[in-house]
Amino acid sequence: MTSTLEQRPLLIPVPDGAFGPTTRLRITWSIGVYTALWLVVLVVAGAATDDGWRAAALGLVWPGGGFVAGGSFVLAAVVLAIFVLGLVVWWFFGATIVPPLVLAGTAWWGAASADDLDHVGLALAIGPTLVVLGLLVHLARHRSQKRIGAELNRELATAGLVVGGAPDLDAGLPVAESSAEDLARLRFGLDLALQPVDEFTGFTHLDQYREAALRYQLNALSYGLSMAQFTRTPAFGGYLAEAQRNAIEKMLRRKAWAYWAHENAWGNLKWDPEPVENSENIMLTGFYGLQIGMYETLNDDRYSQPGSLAFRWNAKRTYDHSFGSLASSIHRNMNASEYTLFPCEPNWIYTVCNTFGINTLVSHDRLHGTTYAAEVQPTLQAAYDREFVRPDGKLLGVRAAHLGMTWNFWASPSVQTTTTYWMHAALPELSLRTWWLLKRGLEIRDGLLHLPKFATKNLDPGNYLMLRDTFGHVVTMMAAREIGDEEYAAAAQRTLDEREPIEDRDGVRRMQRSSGLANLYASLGRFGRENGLRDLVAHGTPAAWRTGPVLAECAYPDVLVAKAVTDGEALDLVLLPGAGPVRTDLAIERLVPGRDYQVTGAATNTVTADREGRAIVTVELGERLEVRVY
Amino acid sequence: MGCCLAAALIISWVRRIWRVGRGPADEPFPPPARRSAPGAARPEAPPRPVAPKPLVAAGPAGALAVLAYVGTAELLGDASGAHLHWLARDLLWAVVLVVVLVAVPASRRPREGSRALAVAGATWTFVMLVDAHLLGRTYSPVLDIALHLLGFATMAVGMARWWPTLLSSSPTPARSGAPT
Repeated sequence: MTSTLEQRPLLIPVPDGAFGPTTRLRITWSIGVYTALWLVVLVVAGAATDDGWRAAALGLVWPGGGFVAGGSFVLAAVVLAIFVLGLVVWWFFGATIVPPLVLAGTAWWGAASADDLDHVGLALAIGPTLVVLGLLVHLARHRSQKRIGAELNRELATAGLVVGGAPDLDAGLPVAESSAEDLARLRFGLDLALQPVDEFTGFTHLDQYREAALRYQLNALSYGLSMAQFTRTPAFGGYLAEAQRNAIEKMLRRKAWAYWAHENAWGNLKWDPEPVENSENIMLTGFYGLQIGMYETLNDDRYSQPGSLAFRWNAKRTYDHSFGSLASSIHRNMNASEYTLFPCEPNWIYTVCNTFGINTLVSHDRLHGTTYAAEVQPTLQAAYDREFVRPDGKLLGVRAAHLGMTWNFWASPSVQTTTTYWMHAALPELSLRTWWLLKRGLEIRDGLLHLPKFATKNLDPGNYLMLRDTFGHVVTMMAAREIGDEEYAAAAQRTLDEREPIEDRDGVRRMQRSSGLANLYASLGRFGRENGLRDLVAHGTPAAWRTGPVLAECAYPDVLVAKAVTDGEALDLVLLPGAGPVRTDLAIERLVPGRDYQVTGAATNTVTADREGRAIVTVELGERLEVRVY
Repeated sequence: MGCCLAAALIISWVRRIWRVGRGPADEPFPPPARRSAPGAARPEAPPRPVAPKPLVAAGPAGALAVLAYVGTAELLGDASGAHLHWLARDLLWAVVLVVVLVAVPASRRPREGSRALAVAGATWTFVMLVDAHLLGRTYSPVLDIALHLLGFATMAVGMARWWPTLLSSSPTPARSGAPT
């Protein structure tokens, strides 16, 4: 059903230099500023007669420099540890202000304790020495990665990776039937989403800044529900669409987005809670935009109406937005950023977050005829290749926009896997190549998947606990299924099914020892299929799905919909009872007004559509039931 | 990779520290949702359990207790000598912690390990009382506060988490579960 483009090798780009062009500029600037500061300190250290001033100055070019100069090496180590902690805080929360404050504070501390500065030369030498060492290490590693890249490219040249083309929408898209187990897992998400919009019971409540934040849970919840609708029940709105709407509207609750006001304050020194009209925060605009794009593709365009997304800060201040303003903000920020990719938290550019941004643009272009994605795609692709792909083909997870630096080690399989999945719609070549590289580290033994060893293998980002590698299996299942490597996807799913303890409450099932986020992404993986995300984001739905009859309303959890599909004329349903045998009504809509329809599998053999094209069909639901309206 | 691991571990520690005295980070299940068949009346939502009200608002109680501690300790210290000064400081600091913890609704407090925490705190307190009041050792202010108050703080946290269990014999609600 998917046409394929011509086969061409998806080679790892060979870098021109040790840094990408933008990164080179930023790092040169950073080293220049540091050098200027160092020269000033050199003058102060040589000319000043007061030891306090000299120690303070030395503390500015190296954390604890004043203590080093005074021979207090233990305190110097303590200060260094505090500074590293400050860097971690900066990275976690985008609090740009923290490292300079720590540096200034500890320099002052060093000044207050200054006494007999006998090691000034050593204090002055540490910073530049480490900068030079860092550069040398980078160059050596770069050379080694380049060698690996060249070897991999020889294999890639004959690997036969093929980027698929657009599916034939006229021929329809594959729609599978959910098993009882699939539906039990889906019910976890449905129950989460169908509670009142202001309530968040069952969500993880840790912090609103990092991966366990409510917003990421809401995103994952919505993506999973949308994917289930797309691949299993495209002709069912009802409570499944309502659940997606609730997830979208929960995102508008202040507790889900107010984090930005804080991050903007301590990251940019600006008090402005506006979550969309800014130059960063793609972790909201990108993720949320995709959530809405998926909903609109499958249901309706209510969130494209101006002001339909009202971020209410307080009684006096509301930020009115829509799908369009989210997309336009992403487009503007990508055009304005020298990296094209732009930051999530102040200053920090994450590669995976930007895949959500481009997915939002692709969805918006398809649904509204804009050309946002087409305009930024070439530069975005080039930016990924030049600035965020290592010479050995691994994607870097993060880069500091101002300083140009990254953490080379921040290229773990989890980063590769999630990015592989989310970039498949807009950057499929990069996605395929990354998966090909990833797969080399995976192993299937006795039908079970074994992940490669890496430091954060057991980290569950949904609760920050390092106990189990469940999340790694979840994202591998997502990526493998999306790429079409079903052998690996099935192995990952089998590993989860066989190994993970399951908690069951009245037919609602979840993995007991994993976070809510991991459970929600497991749902996305479970309901995925080959090119599932790519089709949903980039290509949309067949015309028949948008016009044919749909199951618009039924009772929950009495009626679980395992399959619902239309060819534009007829409606085919597969239903399972969710709360025991029941006689219940189904509301069918988008029928031809006044027309008589045949019905099989129901209590009556015919129904007549009313003036609105709606009819009620009664069913006796005791076990799996097929219903056809035609 | 070492830094990566360190970062993850820091997150994990911060998470654990952040959660002390708070409820479980997540409840395993949301409330069961219900939607009616077309035309049927929408079922009323079951009444939501009312969260127990705090005995004292945490913020004001904490602030008042700190003020009382500072003021009283200084007065007693100046007027009555070092021993009474330290005793007052330690006791009032314990009160601060207890009041703040009591202000958190009882049902949201985790209780695992509370007894061990209280016993460890009491032991440390005893050792520090001997150190400070019998041996009369003195330290820098920062070390002094850390050493002398750590035991009280630990004991207070342990007691505050433990006492609802002592007062109530009702069992913890069981989770439904069917491990496979």
